[in-house]
Amino acid sequence: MGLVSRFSRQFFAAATISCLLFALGTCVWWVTVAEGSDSRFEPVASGLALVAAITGVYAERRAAARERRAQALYALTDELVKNSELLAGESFLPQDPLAPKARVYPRLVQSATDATLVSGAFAEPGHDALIALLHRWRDAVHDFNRRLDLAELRTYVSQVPAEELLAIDEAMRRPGGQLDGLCRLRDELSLLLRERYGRQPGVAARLGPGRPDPGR
Amino acid sequence: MRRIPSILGDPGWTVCLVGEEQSGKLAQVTAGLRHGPDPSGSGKRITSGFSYWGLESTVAWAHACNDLYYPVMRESIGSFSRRWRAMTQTLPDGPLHYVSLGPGTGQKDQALLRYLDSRGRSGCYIPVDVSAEMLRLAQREALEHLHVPPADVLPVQLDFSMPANLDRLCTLIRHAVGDEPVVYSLLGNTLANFDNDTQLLALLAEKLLRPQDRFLLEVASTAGQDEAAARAAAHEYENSPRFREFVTSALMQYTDLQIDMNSLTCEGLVEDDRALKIKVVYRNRTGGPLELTLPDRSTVPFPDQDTIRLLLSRKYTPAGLEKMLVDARVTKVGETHDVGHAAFDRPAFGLALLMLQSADAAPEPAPRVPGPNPFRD
Repeated sequence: MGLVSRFSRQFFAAATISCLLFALGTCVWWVTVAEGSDSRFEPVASGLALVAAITGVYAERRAAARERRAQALYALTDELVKNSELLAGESFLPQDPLAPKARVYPRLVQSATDATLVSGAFAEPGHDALIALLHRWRDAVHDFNRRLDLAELRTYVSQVPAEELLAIDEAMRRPGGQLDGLCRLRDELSLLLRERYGRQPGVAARLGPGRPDPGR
Repeated sequence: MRRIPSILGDPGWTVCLVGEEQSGKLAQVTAGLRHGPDPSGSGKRITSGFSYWGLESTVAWAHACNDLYYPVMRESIGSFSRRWRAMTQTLPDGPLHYVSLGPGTGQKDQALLRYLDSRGRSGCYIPVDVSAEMLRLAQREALEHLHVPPADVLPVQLDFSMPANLDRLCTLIRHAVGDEPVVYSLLGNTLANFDNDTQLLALLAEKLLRPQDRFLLEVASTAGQDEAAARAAAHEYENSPRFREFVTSALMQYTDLQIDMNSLTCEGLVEDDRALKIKVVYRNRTGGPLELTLPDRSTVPFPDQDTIRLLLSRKYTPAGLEKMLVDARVTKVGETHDVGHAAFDRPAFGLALLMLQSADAAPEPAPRVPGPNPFRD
């Protein structure tokens, strides 16, 4: 088991396909050397079974992987749209300088991002950029949500003067701050999904054809 | 003086220190009644304190306080004990001396002294009033069933609204209590009876309050401040027959006027943004001129529609009260607000009980350090 676990999935795939191709070649050769029509049935049947094995397994696996990616992309784009709406919503509007008040902020959702990362739907080569960006996005959302927790605790546990409420709001919105960084990552993710996966059914329709993001 | 304590063992005796010339006070009353004609109620007047000066006024006041038609004062006395308990956390430690400025009927003083007595913290009890009869009444009521030694009770007959009198009172109190803390009180909305209420509070704070002392102030409060609220405030006073007897008792005592209760009116006014002002005035409605004979046998014309202001009172707005405290250089260390009886369609009037200390005694507020900011740190 220790020796087997050292080889990658690609190695086993190559070994399997090589064996099947070799067996197919043997069947073809067997047909040419067989004498009599009756004796050709067996290599032909074996050859057809091998062709079915080669094409069927490979194609089914590719189709299943494609379906998983499509589902993950739907969920990701839906989540991105939902987060953009939350950021553009009433709860994240700037405080009224004359009457600031303590707020309960809605949290940004990240369940689809988490599920996508652990599902391995984008584990095949070619999706490295998306996976790296999803990791950064997930960390940024987690960090932002935690700071919202702290802001609520600060403003609800004790009486906080108006100037501190305004200071928290101003710090959240400052250029280069957490909200700014989060919005930039969301835009990057949105751009990547639209450019790289826009042809997938439903993605471009959900994100909209290059429409300005409502959260900015 | 050494023999007096043994005499005071008999509860029928009261020792009272008279701090000013009483004939001078009589001159003050007559001077107030000599003002020129003014139909608006700002001319002739009986100034605060003299409404209670004399036996007749004292008895009338005691009756008014128990009048079922005058629930404000009754509720104020009834709820005082509860409101005072909420304030006791703000008292300084150790034995406390109690100086009651205008002790009224003495029932509130009794609640306060009972608390101090039950905790073994009672010191001297010094009621101060312009009326000797009021002092005697208050003292008897305040000390009933309490264990305050007669030598620790020192009633002072004095008008505490005069700066010179306050200096002398201050000297007397310092001699009696030394450096030990004193709780002063001015209860029953007495402060509102003075024309210059803020100046009086500032004067009391400046002359009497040391850093270790406290000042218990009770004033009437109002949530609304419009014409309707002013009218409702005036109605509160108008409804009580006993109160009407009380306010006119001084007029009966110092003039030869034939009192007609229908000539008595209560006028509610809005005083800037600080209070509702209530003037109780007696108006000449006879249709012809009258003449008032004063205690010095002189006569003063009292033309038709002319007025004599018998009582002045106020109900303070929260903002007005805060401003008055700032102007008087005192700070709050405790407060309770009691909303009195009020129908749903009438303005809410209440009573505020404040524990104050001299602003000079309050520690400088620490510079405010902004709290942690989760989006900055």
